Amino acid sequence: MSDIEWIEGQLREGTKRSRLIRAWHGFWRGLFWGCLVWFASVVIFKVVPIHEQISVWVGLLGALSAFGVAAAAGWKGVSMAEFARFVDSRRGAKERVSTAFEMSRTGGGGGWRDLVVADAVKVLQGTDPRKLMPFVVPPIGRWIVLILALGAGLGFVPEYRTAEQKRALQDVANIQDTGRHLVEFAKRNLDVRSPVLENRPKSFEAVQELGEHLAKAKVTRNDALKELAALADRLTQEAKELSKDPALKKLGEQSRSNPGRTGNEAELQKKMDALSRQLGEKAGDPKALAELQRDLEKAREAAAGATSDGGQLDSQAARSMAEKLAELAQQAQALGVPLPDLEKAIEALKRADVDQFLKSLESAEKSLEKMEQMARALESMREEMHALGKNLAEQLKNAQAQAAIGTLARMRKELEGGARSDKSRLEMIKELRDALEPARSYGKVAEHLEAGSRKIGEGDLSGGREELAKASKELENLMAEMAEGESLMASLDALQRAQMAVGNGINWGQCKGAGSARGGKPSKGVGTWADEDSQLADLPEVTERWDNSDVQRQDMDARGVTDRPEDRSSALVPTKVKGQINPSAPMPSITLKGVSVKGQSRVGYTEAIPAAQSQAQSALSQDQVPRAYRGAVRDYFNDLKE
Amino acid sequence: MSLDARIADFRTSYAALRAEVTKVIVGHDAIVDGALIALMAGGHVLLEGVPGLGKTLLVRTLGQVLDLSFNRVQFTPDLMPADILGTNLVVESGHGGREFQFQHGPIFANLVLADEINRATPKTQSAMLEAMQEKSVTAGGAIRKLGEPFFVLATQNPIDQEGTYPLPEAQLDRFFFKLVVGYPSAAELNEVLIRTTEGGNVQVKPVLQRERLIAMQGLVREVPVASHVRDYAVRLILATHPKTETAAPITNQYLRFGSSPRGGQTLILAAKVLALTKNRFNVGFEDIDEILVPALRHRLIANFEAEAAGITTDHILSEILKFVPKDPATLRV
Repeated sequence: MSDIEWIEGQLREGTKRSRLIRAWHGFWRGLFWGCLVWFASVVIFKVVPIHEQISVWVGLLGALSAFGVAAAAGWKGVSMAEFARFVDSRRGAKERVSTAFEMSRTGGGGGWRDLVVADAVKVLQGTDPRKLMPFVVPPIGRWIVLILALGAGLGFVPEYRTAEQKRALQDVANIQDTGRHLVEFAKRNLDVRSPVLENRPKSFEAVQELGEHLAKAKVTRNDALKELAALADRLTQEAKELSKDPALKKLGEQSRSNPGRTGNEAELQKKMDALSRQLGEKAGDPKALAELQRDLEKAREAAAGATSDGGQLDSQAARSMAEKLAELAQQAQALGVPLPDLEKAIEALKRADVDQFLKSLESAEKSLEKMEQMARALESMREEMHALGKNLAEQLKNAQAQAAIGTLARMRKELEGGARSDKSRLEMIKELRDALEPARSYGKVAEHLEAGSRKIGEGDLSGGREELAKASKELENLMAEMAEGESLMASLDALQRAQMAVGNGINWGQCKGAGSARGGKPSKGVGTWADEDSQLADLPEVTERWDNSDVQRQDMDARGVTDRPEDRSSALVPTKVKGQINPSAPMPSITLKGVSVKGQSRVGYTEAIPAAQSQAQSALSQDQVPRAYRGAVRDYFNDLKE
Repeated sequence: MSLDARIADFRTSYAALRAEVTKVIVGHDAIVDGALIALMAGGHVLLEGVPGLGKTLLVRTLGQVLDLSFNRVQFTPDLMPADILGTNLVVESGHGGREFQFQHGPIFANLVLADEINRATPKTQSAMLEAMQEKSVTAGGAIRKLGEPFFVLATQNPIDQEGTYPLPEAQLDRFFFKLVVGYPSAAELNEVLIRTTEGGNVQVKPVLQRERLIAMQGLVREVPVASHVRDYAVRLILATHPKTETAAPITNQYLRFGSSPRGGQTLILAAKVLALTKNRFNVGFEDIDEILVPALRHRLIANFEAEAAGITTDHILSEILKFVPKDPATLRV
């Protein structure tokens, strides 16, 4: 091997290693810049409210950038000439190697080339590429450690956030939470209800869409309120249009006055029969059952009190208890209530098995309680049955659409046979004609009933049946519309709750609101003497079930219906508190945040109203408007669009 | 003679020459080396310094150690070009007639000492332009070649001295090196005093003949230079050109004119001599750096701002040296 070949071999080996070393140094350079950018992102996060995930992603990218830079650095090849110059510079070879390599490549030079090459060989013989380019952590590694240490140290430094930023962050979290609840609400309702009309089901979809938007996007409180108010306006408008239908209005009133009642006579009768079978014929009096239960409870408490430390009853108490229990067993017998646990308790008492005695008594109490509940349910069903109209006219008059549908179904069934007597036909026609007047409130129901009665009168029983079927269908549609209306109201309730949550900056669960509940019934906090302005009102809602079994309420009825006893608690005595605001005086001015009252407005007219509404909603939600003027303010801003 | 032998002879001769000169010249190693390098490269040297520092002595000593024809011209304000170049005289011919005969001036020698060159007028100074560059003299309508080798070793006093005329740029550019002779150190001065006041005169003998000198000059030109080293010299020259993309920042600030291509030639040739004297067979960056200042200092024309601020071309060159990278393509790991 000639000197030139040897030099080239050495340089070739060196270029391979230099690529690896370049990749190695590239890795550290990339890591350094990645760490630097990551550190910058952490510093920014500590000062500016950016998303905390940004630092994590930047850190990951920084780590990846190290590999990226390493790959890029190692990818580019190293020429032998470059490496020769590198050796010259590192070994202080005064360009011997690079000159020799160049002369070997270009040829010529004669004796000079031999001299220069021999000179370069001497240099390269003492050169080990591994020592020349060792795999050691470069000095930049110290900076990386320093940056990482500083970054880790910054982790213990609390983020600097202004009060406004904190509030904004809290608002965003609250708005997103509210959005998620809206989505959940809409999905639940969409799953449960199958919309009939084409435009109405869009209310839930709109609520879901808005909820998804709020849950994902970072919107400000004002924007969120604006969007909620806009949707609420739209749904209110739809609800108003729906309420113009007198049939629906009537059905709605009936629904609100009898919540939970089906109005289906057959179904009701079926349930009543089932309950009667379970209770027996005599056991229909819930009051007597409750009294018996109380006596039994007193007896159990007395027995428990009379039990000695050794768990035994003395003979006197046992005798007295046995007599009491026998009496109670007789009463139960008289009420027609079989109480095998009571019999077991008496037997246990005879055996002086106090534990078993008490357990049996408790079981007997529970059985009685269950029976009492069933008796109450039966009584309620009887009342409902009693309230049901006796014929179609009454049912329509009372807006008992379900019962009316049942009646029409019964009529169609009667007409199916075809051979109806004149008397029964006349009775049916009479019932149908009587129902015409109340049916006029139900769209085309009256027309179908009239046509049906006419056809039945003419002997066209199948035609009459068809007309009755149409009337029944019409009623079903009305009920479906009614259901849609309820959905709309539910959506509005949800939106109102969302507005309250967003406006007050509190979570969804705390907004089961003051004000009116569905069906026009007062919700909590309305019609009581509670001090709503105190700090107690800000306490979070307790969601656990209260154990109020030992609470004896003086009256369960609404105020004013029953007489209250004179010795009622002083806390329940209403007192007049002198207000600071005189309703008859001019309304004091209030400055709302974000509303410019001076200068020239730059807000478009169409944008101004929703903005003002959202501001007003926010102000109302945050108790910035005096209580006496809240209604007026709300009405004013609600009517702005009209 | 083989290449090895030629190189060995070069180094031996150079060392002998230097040793002989330093018998007379105390200190001033850089000046001696500079003069010898220029001699080996075939260039002229301008020595600048205040009177009495040994400039003339150095040149005279060189004249003695080199076995060459030597002439000395003392430049004065009334010196005329013909006094240097020579002139046609009417002389009687052998057969009774009269004819013009060219009387050679002192320029016709292998080694010419132009002492205190800046005391002559620019007109007289310029008389040497053709001789220095083309090594020929045009007089009386005839071109006369000068003998090989031909060196001009000029001395001058700093231009702020009384009765001096600055050399024109074209003239300056023809000098290979401009060596600035400084004051001797205490030890050197002590040695000078001992030699000149106590002992007898030091006698030097010629150590280098004309033919050998020409051979050495030929050898110098054979020394290989790698392309990236040559590129470095080019970048250095380009960095002295103001208002160009390659100019160094200090160039744009303080220079009116940069170096001519002669500066680049000087850098390479001088570096070659230096490499040989340092027992190498190739030129390195270090050689270029070492001779940058004497090779270029007289080729740069400073502007008014530099003169007002007292910035010398030496300082500018040292800044340019920092600015220009040795080898931009060097592998970085």
